[in-house]
Amino acid sequence: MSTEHCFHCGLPVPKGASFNVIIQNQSRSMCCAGCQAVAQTIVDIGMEQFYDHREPAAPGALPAAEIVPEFVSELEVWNQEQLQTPYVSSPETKKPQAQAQAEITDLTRREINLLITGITCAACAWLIEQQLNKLTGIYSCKINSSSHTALVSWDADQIGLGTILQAIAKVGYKAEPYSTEKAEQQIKRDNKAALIRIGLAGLGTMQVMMYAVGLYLGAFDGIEDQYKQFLRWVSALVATPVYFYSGWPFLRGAFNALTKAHLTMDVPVAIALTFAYFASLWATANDGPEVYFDSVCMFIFFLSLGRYLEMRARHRAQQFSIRLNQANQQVARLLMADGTTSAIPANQLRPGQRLLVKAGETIPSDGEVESGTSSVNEAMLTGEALPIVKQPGSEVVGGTLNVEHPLTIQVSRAPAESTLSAIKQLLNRASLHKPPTFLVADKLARYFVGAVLLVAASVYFFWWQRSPDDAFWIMLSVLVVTCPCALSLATPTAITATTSALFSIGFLSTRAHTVEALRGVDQVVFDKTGTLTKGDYQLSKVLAIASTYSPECLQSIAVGIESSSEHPIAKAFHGLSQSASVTDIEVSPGQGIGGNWQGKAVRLGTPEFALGSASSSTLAYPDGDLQWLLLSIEQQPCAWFGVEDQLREGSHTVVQWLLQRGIQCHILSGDNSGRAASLGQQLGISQVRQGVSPEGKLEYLKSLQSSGAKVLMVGDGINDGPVLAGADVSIAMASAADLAKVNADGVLLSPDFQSLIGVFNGAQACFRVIRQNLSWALLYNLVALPLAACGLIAPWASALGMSASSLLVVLNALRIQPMVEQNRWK
Amino acid sequence: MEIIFLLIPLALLMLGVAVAAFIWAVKSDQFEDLEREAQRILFDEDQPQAGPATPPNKKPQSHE
Repeated sequence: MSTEHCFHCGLPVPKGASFNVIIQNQSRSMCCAGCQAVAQTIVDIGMEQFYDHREPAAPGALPAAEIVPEFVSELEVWNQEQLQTPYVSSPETKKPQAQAQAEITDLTRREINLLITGITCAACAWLIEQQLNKLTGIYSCKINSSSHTALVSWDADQIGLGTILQAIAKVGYKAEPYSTEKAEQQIKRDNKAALIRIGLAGLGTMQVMMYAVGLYLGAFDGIEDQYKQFLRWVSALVATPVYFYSGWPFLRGAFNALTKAHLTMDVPVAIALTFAYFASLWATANDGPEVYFDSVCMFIFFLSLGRYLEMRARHRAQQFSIRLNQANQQVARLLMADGTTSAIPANQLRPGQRLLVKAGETIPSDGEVESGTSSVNEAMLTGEALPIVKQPGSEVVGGTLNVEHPLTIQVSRAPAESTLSAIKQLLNRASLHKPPTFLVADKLARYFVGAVLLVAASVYFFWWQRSPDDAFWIMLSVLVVTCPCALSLATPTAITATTSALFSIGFLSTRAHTVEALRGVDQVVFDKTGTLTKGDYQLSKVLAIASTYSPECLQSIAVGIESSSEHPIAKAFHGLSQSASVTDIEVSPGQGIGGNWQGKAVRLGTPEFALGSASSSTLAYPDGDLQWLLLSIEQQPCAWFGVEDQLREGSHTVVQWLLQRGIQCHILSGDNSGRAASLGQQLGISQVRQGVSPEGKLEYLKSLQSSGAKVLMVGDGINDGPVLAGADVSIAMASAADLAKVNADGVLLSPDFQSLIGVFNGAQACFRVIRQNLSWALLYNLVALPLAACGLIAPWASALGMSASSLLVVLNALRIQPMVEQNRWK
Repeated sequence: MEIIFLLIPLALLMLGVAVAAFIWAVKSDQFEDLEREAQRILFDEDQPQAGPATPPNKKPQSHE
């Protein structure tokens, strides 16, 4: 069976779907209307080359059409200036020189930072730039494809922010304004300072090495004193800024650690550096036996490089959550007395205000329905997969999704007291109790450091009794040789390599310790809706009752009826081929949809609704664990349609894989429909809890943890937030609520659930490499130490040994990438 | 060998220039996005687009 893959996003094309776009003179099939619209736009603006240049991303790396038309039109509210103010910088906020430069139009110049989701390669960035540059009124647009941000400046007289966001959405990316916060500027400054430190250390090392070669050769073949002195002085000159500026983080780190009476990796590094530097300086001035300026520079260079890699991985994670927190300023439509609406930021709402929430929009605040009847999807909050009918007088909760009709809502609670905030508070409390991950290297460092200091001291004492002149120099060579360069590079290089390898298979780790925490997980808790299941319904069975019409005909009527509805059940019918034309469509929330087909009244929904009051409604539901809909023509029952929230592809494989390795699986579901239990049976998971509140989920997690288990939580909803924050390690799905993503330790970007196996394998591979690296570094030290203690190691040999062992550690870490790619599915 | 008394200070001078250039490069955001710039040359203006899909009223665009 060959499944076709969507030309745009790479996901499998559902059977019977027909979304085609002609790209480069070939008809290509797409998986959904969203991808079709995006691909068509790309063709229409003449950017077909995008498909040549983009990198073959993991399937589904492109955002598969969350970009429904309603979403695009919703962006229009951003054209209102007062909404933009927190994000936009205009001429008044700029520096005076910039203003002096400005000529006529610049008073209306605006600038904004956008966070863009869906960028996977340079071709994406190019596509967006081209699309924006086509608009009139755009001054410039700079896209950073590694941080997924854009800096756009435009003329407020000619174009609105909303239009810009819409243009980006039309080519398939989601852009959200965000304000660059202090924390982020700090990250940028740190990054630059670290780069300069490394650059200086690198350049300095090269120079000092050159002089050192001269000195080494001199030591063998003899060298005139004046040249030796000169080379030493020049080395000292170059090494001084390297020691004081590039080495500063280690010196400060060691000082901090010592004042807290705590041994870290920084302590022996700083001691070795300081001794080596000042002893060499002394030797230079007093014609002493050895200088170690080259070793000092090289230590600092290698170690800063290792630190930098680690810092980059940490920063990327931090930026991700800062931006998610910053973006997503939700917008509410405030209903004025005269019936018009004006958009305001949702966090400024006050109780008593009246809001309009259109179909397809997120309800901005807790409140009570004043007028309108619609169904509201509360899946994110409760896990309940089906929308719930809301009538005047019903309570609605902020963060839930209005599916069908516009609702007028009276705000009942200020955002700070809303249900959503309550969950956030729960989540903050949970994250305080998150079990810490103990890093192997940190533990090892403590013993190692103690041992080295002890050995160095005893070596000094031993030689001081024999030949006091050599004692200091031999101790110094012990310190230099054992400087834990390889040891302190062992872990960060492995973790950095794993993080980037995992990213290439669609897993973004958002905490520095995610990879280490993943190893040793022995319990996995899954959420149901949206995690183990897809969270969207699909038609899985059709049972015809009346033989008057052919099953194909009946199905096409059903497709026609449901075509205009955005209800999750209706979406099961979207994209199926052959749709009959049904007119006068009328939706009854919570019951079904009626219409007119070839002059006959057709209805699809619950039996009571489909057969109307005329029937005695004794028709029994067919068997099977499905959601059944009845289609009637002129109130005569014609066919049953069974839809279900289908299992995510690969979830069976993942669960089996975990169980085989003795890892226990659990299902925690917010809804109470019994679906979780049958799902558990299907997957072979015995521990199933359903109808659990967010507090209940957290309780369950704590009871697992208190029995000593290390728990991985995989979830997607707001109601999973507290558990994600409190679990030993947690993963959110790509489609998860932002709140869940921010609080998880990693995000599974790939829609392929089986990537989870790759993630587990990656964590294993990482651990193996860390262990190899640490053993190698220890072995090296064990061999070198006695030699140095006997006074047998010359400065050039210690420098060589140190760099070779560090290089080996780095090369070993590079093996992780191919390992992760090979073991992706196994 | 007296020449090294001249050559090494000269080399140091060049080292100083290199360090200054590097600091300048970091401070003026040259290292912000390494992936993008490497590939930019592959995409630039080579658009012999068939058809009138692209409107001609495009203003001259600046690539930063």
